[in-house]
Amino acid sequence: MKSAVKKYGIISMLLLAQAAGAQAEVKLSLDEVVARVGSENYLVLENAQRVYQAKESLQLVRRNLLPKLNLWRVLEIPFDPKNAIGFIEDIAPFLAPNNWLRVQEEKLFLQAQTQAYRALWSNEVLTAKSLYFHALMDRGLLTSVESGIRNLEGVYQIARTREILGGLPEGLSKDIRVRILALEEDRRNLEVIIREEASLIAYVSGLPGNEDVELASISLPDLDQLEPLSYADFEFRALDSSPEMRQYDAIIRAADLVKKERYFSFLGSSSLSRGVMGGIFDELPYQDGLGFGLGPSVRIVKAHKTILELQKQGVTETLRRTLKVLVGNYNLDLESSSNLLQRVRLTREILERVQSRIQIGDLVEPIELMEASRNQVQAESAWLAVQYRFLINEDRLARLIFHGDYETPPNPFAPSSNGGSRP
Amino acid sequence: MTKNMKLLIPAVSVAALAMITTGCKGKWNGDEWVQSTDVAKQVVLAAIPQVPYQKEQHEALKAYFEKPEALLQLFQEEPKAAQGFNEYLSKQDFEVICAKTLLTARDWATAVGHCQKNRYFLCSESVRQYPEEIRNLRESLNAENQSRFEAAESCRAAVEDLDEG
Repeated sequence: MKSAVKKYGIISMLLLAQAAGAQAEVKLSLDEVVARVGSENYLVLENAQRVYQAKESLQLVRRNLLPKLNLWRVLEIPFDPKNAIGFIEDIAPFLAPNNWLRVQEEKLFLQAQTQAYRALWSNEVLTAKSLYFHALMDRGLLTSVESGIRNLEGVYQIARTREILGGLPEGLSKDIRVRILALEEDRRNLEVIIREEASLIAYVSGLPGNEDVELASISLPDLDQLEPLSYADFEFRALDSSPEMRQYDAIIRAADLVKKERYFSFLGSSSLSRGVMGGIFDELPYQDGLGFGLGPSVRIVKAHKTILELQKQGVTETLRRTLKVLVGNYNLDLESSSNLLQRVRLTREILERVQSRIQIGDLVEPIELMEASRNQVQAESAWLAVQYRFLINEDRLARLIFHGDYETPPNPFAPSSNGGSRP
Repeated sequence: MTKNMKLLIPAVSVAALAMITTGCKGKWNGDEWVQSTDVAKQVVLAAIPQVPYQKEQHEALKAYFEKPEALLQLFQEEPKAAQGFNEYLSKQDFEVICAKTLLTARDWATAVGHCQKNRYFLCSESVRQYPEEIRNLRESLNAENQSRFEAAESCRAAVEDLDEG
């Protein structure tokens, strides 16, 4: 009997715990989302492991310069003394110049991998912040839609009363009801979008799948206080801080070393791996030993370097173009802010005037009230959308020049609760 | 076996020569570093007052302020380089070295001020990182060199306000 009570007690506790787990809701602020992306995001953690691999690859090629023992090769020498020459590669790998070149290449690949990590982390932060801003904007729009529904419900009551009393022809109340139903549909759609955005934010923040997220509000920018930007001021910073450009710089420098490897191929090719980032050079044909294939093999590497330089040029122009568009949008939003604010103020005044006329018993046409309410909701929504669009553009600019949240990338070797700890 | 040994000797000699040309090429040269930093410092001193900064001034700032960062990265990759750095400095006059290589804190602050526009920092990140890099470089000095650094007037003057910043 006692054990049955104990068993049921444990089961009910487990069920309670499960129910509590299913309803878990985590409150997140924007700063917390940014911090979590750096420490818990799955893609960022995966890339941190690649940086770790690149770091260890450097150690590997360094240590492989030291002598090693291959028992089978030692045993082969008494049977075939010519194998002693091949044995040099084992006892003195540091005598093969290409092994030294691989060490230098590996240092550059580590730099490239670190920059790839920085690029990926910043892109994930950008995505998370953009989702956050969109979710808050949609929440604001939802509030506007709900206020519009409430206003229209009032108008509907007035119209219906007048229709019953005979002051209005039949039909207007039905038009208003149709409008209310359409707004309710908008509300439901917005609720679905907000839930999806919150779910994506939870995923990029590395939260468990059963946890819901509640987002904290943020203060919106005062666009009147900001000054327009100039493209020329930002160009150097955007190109200089770009991890994509730095990645290309490192790989292009590595291409020079790969070319050098071709010249020293007559002293044996290196068996050391180029590591996680070096794969781009692995497919290039190689002249093993001194032969007439040296010239073409060098020219192939040179052409590959040209390809990389062209790709880098492409990235440069993309960055310039993106910056130009962002600065343009930033300035346009600043310009339009005063118009939009004026529109919001005027539509609010019109609605208040119509409502006060109703309160003092003036005969107001329901269509007039409906129009005033709709204009006010539209103006508020447009203003809200511009404010959040500005925040999103401002953040994209920050990502481009590595400003604010993007200044300090997380340490790829720091431990994480999502399985990012290193051996 | 003797015949094989005769074959081995030239092969090993050629390989050793090639190894010297590839592996030992990147050895750190103190005099060269001081000279190139001195040149970069003169260029940056001329560039700092030329506002608003164009590409030329940005490049000059980057070339100078990246020097300590590059040196620290070398120490990280090649721990023996830090030892070589200390050995080199132990034979030098710190008054001369600091005067040639370090910028005053006031010049650095002016550069940082000119790099700021609206809420944004528009120069190379190395400009902002300079005090931290100098602090790290000082930490990589051995005890003897650290006390010689503290004793030298030009070195102290260069880092006094920088530490506060």
